[in-house]
Amino acid sequence: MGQKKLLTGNHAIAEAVKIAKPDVIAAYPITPQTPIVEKLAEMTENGELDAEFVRVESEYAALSVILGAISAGARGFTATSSQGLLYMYEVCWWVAGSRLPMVMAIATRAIGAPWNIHGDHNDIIVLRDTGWIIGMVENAQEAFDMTLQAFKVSEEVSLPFAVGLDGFQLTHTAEVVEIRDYELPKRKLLPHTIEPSSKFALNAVTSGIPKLKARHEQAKDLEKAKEIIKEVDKEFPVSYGGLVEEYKLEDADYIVVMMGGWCGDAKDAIDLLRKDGIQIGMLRLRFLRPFPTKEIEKLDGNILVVDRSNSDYRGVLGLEVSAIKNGIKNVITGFGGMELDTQDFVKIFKKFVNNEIKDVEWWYGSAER
Amino acid sequence: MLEITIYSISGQGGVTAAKLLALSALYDGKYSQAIPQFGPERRGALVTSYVRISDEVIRKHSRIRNPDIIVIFDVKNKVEVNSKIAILNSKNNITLNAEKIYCIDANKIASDLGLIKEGLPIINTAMVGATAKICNISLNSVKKAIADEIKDERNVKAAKIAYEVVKCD
Repeated sequence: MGQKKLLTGNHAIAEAVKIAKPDVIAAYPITPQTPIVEKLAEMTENGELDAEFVRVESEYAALSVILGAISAGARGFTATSSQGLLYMYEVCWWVAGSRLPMVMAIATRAIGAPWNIHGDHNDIIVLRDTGWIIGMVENAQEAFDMTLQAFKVSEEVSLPFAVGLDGFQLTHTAEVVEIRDYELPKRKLLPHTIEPSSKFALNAVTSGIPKLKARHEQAKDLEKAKEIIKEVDKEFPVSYGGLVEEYKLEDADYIVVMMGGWCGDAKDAIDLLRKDGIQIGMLRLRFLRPFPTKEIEKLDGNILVVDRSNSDYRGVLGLEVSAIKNGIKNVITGFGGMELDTQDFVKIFKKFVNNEIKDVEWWYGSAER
Repeated sequence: MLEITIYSISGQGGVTAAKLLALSALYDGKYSQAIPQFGPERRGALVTSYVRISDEVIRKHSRIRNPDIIVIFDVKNKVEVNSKIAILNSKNNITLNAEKIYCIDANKIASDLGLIKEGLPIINTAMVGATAKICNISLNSVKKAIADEIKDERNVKAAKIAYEVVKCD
C-alpha cells in the first residue's frame, strides 16, 4: 500500500507526473487547470522534479515546445482547458500525426461564447478526430492512476494521450489518493527520433496515398492501443476494467452510459434504484478514443446515454453509441458547471425506466428553462 | 457518511478549514473530501465550502445540499440552516433552526493568541478544532493536519483550545 494523501484532482495529476519524470514541461495557465502546472513548477523549482520547465506565451507555444522536445526523444507533459485547448488545436494534429508520445491533462471546461469558466465536456471532445488517445476519469485517484498509465500506453503506440478530468468538480475537490508504488520504464527512442546527426526530415510533404497510409497506420495503432490500455490496466496495482468500467451490469435491464466525475453520484443513484428492485447498471466509459466499440456492442438492455457535450441536436456520446446500437435514449445536461447530484440522477433514471425520456432530451432539472 | 457545510466570509479561511477537517479525518483513517466554492474569489463575499467524512470510499462529487452539520464563521451573515447540528462562531447563544447548536467564541480564542491579520482575528483553526470534536475526529489528527499545512503553531493551539472547550453530549 502506498501512502495516502489528501489531494485535489489537479495535484493528484502533478504527483503522478512527478513519478513519471518528464524531461520537459511547457504550459500556459488557464482555469481550472492552472494548479497542475503551478505544482509542477514548484516541484522543479525546489528540486523534487528534475525537468525543464518552459514558460511560454500561449498554449500554441506550449504544445509546440513539447512537440520539439518529444521529437528529440524527451518525455513531455502539458496541461490545458477549454479556450487553451482550442488555441493549441493545430499543434494537437501535428503531435498525433508525427506519431510522437506525450501526455496532456485536460481540466474539462465549457467553451465560450457565452462566457463560462465552469465544467462540461465540450472542450475535450474536439480531440476526437486528431488521433489522440482520450481518457476521462471519475475521481482524483483515477486521475493519478491514469496519468501514470498514460505515459506507458502513449509510448507503446507512439500516440499522444489526453487525460480528461472534470473542471472544478474533480480538479478542485480534495480527496484521499493513494500514491502508487509504480515504476515507469524509461522512454524508448523511436526510429524517427531527431538527433543532431539525423539525416532525415520529420514530416515531409505527402500527397495522396502516403497521406492515406499515414492516417490509416495511425488509426490502426489507435485500435492497437485498446489491448495495451487493458494490459497496462491489469498490471497496475488496481484494475479499473480497461476501456470501460462495468458497474452492476451483469443482470441489468437498464443501462446508463456516461463518463467523468459525475459517475459517482450516478452510481449512488443506481444503488438507490436497485433497492427498489430496478435492475439498472452503468457502463462507464474510461476512454472516448479509442472508442470501446466491442464493449458497447455487447450491451444487452435498454440504453440511456447521459452527455455533457453536444454536436448538432444530439449528445456526442449519444452519437457515438447510436452508431453501434439502435433505439438508445440520450439526455444532454450539466453544461457550464451545472451540477447534478444523486437525487437528480434518481429522477432521470426513473424517467428512463418508466419510458418517459424522449429519444433526445435536453435536461434542465428543476431550473427555469 | 457525515456531510458538513461551512459558511465563511472570503478571507476568513473557510476553504482552508474544509481542507484541514478532511485531512484530520484522513489521519484518523477515514475517507474524506473537501470541496471549495468554485469560481472567482471575491474578498468579503460569502463563501461556501463542503466536507464529507466516511468510513467507505466517497464516490459522489456534487456539492452538499442537505448537510448534517452547518458551520458558520460570521453570524452576521444570514444563511439558511437546515441541518441537525449548527456550530457558530459566537460568544452568545443564538437560536437557529437546528436540533443542536454549539456556540464557540473563536474570535476570543484567536485574539487571545494574537492570531490577527489585517485587524481581524484568524478564526478558522479554532472553528476546525470545535468542529473536529463534534465530528469525533481525534485531537492528535487535528494537530497534525494543522501543523502540516500552517507554519504558525498558534493555529494548533487555537484548535486545541476550541476542541477542549466544546462540550459534547
